[in-house]
Amino acid sequence: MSKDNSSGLSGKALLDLYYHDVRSHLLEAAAAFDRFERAGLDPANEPRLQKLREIAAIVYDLQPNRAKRFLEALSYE
Amino acid sequence: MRVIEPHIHMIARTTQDYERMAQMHTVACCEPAFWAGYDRTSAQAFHDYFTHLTEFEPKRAAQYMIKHYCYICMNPKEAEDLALSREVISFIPDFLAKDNAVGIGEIGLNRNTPNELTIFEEQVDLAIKMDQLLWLHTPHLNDKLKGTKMMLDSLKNRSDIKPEKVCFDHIEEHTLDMVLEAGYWASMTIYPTTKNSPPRVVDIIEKYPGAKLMVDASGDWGPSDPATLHQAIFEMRRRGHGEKELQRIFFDNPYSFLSQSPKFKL
Repeated sequence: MSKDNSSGLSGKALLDLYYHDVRSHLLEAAAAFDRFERAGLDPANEPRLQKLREIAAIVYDLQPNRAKRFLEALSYE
Repeated sequence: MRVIEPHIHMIARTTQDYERMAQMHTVACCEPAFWAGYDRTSAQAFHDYFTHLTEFEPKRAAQYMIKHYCYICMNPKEAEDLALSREVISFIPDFLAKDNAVGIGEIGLNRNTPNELTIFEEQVDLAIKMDQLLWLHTPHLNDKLKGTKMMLDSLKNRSDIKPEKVCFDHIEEHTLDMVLEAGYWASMTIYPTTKNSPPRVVDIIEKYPGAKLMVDASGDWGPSDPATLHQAIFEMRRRGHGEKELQRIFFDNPYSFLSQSPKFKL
């Protein structure tokens, strides 16, 4: 299957376009973990939060296809 | 630019949504049969639902110059009961004869159970026998990958299937390659929190130029909005895509798929 990256925008223009969205989404995740912790959950031991911590690492690793790998990691066998 | 909405549950939407869609240049929509938010208690309830899809919705849409088409089926969320499912399937051909019915859908899997797969396969048989389009529901969230593989495996050994007449819906990054490589159409649903977002849909369109892709809002009674389809159009424009590419994704592709049914006319 042919794959391309045919956006009409440069990398810098794309970053300008999405920077605040990405910042906002990451901040929401950080605040949600704080919220769960204040309510007595331990992010290191609660299974769903453990899973989210595990797949959060995919977001900032340096390998391609992060979205695909993120979804695969959440899929049942 | 004219827009075709290939998947939306207008039974769950207000007339004001038809008005909004028309104002956003939607000229046709297609409504697959699905779950109502609760399990129906008899085959007669499905009969009433199919009557609604084939008689009432086309008239309501026509007030806003939108052509309404539908797919008829026993949906996967209620397919665990084999006896009920088969009773419903027995009158599906009557509704496929209606003017706006273009195929069988949205069939597929929900929890990936053996009974769901049995009813999926029986309806694939019916679609092939009656030479109908097939609109396929892939499961939600964590069940999607396994369910999509199960459906592809089920179809793989059939020599009588025409892949160009089959669309897998609710596709995301982890299920796209396998569907396109098998020769089927793939549609991407945009929901506010689950499934795809407008930026991710445009990412996929950019990564797969010329692929057999559609986009849908799949608006229903849950968190959803017919306008998410048009948000994706805006997203493509602000990323610099031209009108020709926009038309290919939001009009030409769904037109190519749907016009394989002789009933689909614009």
